[in-house]
Amino acid sequence: MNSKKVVKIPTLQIIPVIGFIIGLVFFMVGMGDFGFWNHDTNTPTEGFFPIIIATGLMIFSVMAFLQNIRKSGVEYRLLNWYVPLGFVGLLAGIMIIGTVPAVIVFEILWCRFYEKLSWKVTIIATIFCLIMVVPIFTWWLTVDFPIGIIGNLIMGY
Amino acid sequence: MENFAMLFHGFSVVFSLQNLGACLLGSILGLIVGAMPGIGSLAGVALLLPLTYKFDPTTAIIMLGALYYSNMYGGAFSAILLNIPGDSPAVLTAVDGYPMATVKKRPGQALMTANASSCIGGIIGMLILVILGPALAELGLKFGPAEMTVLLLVAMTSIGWLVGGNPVQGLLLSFIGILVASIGMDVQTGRPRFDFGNIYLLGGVEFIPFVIGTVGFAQLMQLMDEKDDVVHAVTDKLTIRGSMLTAHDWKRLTPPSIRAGVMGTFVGVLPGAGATAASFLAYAMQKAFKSEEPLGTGAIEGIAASESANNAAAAGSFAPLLALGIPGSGTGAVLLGGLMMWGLNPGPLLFQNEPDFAWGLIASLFISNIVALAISLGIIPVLLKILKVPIRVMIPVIMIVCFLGAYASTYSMFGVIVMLISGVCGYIFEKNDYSTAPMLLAFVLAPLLEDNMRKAFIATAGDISEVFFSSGISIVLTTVLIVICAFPVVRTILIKTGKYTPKKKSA
Repeated sequence: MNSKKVVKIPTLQIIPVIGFIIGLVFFMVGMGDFGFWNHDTNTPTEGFFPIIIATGLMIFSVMAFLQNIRKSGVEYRLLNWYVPLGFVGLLAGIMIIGTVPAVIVFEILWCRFYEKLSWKVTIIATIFCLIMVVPIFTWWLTVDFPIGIIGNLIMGY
Repeated sequence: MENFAMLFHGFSVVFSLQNLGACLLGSILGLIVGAMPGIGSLAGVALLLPLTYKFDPTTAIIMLGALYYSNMYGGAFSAILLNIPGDSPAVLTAVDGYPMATVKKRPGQALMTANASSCIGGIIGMLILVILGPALAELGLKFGPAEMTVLLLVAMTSIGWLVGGNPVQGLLLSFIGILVASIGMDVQTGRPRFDFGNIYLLGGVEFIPFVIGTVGFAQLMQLMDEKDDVVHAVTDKLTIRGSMLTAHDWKRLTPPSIRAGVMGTFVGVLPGAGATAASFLAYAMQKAFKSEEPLGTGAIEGIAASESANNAAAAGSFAPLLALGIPGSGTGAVLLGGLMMWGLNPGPLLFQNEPDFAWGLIASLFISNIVALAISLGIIPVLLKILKVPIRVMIPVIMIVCFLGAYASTYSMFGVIVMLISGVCGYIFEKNDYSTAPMLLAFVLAPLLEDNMRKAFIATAGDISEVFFSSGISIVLTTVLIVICAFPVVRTILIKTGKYTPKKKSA
């Protein structure tokens, strides 16, 4: 896979379209489930504020779409998407083997095998991450991170 | 004088071991994060927010304040030594700082100029904050729901076009931020809404995963573009003794620092203007004054103006944040989110109801200023080593920090998924020149706006004219709001008719 590959996507037009759809959904749900104004008590309902905002969002989405209608697509490099892809891999690892082992494996895979950094740098980066996970977040802030399917099996849960 | 008496009371609050420790930790972390090119104060504060969970609210916000404040110091380091501004307010520091370090072979003095003028600007900003903060709060007490509604609308719309280049795009994202914030329980009745049948959405979208994703994770995706960049660093060895300024240098840096400090504070008070605008305006103002060398060639006056103004603006931005509950920037919005997370509601009553907290925070800014200056001087000999940590190493480490922060704030993988989705969206927005700061601000202020707007409409039985034109304050604010809203329309018409050509951005 060529990480420098560039793909042009018309996101300048897509963002306002999605904005309009979000506005429309909130408008419809707001009107349908809550209404805009309670005429019996002469007070605004739960839908009052979101409906106003949703209407504004639809208007600005149309304006943004018209502003950008003739502009060409924006270039995206595959390289940038390695971050969310790697992160999804990290999450999968956490769910299977648990947080601490997944962090170690992730740091080694990314630093040593993807970035081709030296073992020394890889180990320093991994230790730095483990210090954050174990003493800072687990012991000090008392956060229980997932121990994964394997951890659950070992613990007999 | 009463304000200064309260400030001394604030110092007595801060002088506990825990608070001083938090202040020191915040200053160190802020300096490091600020110095790292590409991370910036917004992402830095967002990423480090979960570290404050263990503290009580006062200590936590003291640490965050110190972190934000010392960040402004750190931004100058990479600007001067690598010609890469750590954050946008330091862009103009690089213009004179890097030539002074490389061409004039005075890197230590360039750093010292930045540190000294940051300290001067910061002190000026804080002194004005001491005077202005309670005065603003007093004015805020005259605000009812109607006035607050219009004020919040002004803050949201102004940041929409001040921070983002395109006002329509800024407002589009602001509205998305408000709608995301409206998911979950209704602010007045507690009735669930917009959960779309998802049990996780019943509690709403959590602030911390949202902000870590939108700024921190999105920044990581952008950093991939720079990971292989070759850094041209200053090669001279740096020592503290070799960095000392001469009496003549002090004479050159003091007047621009004072001028820029005063101006920067007032720019920082304005919503949306912030440290970057202050630094640009101060640099432009310095051009009107006499400098010993031309600006842009390594002039001490240029570094002093830029650094003093951005630190003063950082201090000034606390005035509307504390007194009115309105942040002046994206970073201010994160700080406000942190305050709300600990159950504190900044606003006109904060100085009355929580004097320990309000004055403790202001006093801690003074201490952070001194601590940041001391640490800045102390780390000069090892600065180049810190700055040369490759982005390639930072990326996977920050990914782990993003996971830890998002998980720790929600204790569930749902928070992590929210962070991931908002991160990808944040990256796409930035890639298309949509600034995400207005969205964050709108997300934080949305519950306050909705609450006040509904109260105003209940009180007036739905009479719009009563909401917007009921008092002198409302009329003034509504006029400002109309001008802000009309600006993009008028600008578009002028461009289309050829009567106005927008200037291309430089630097």
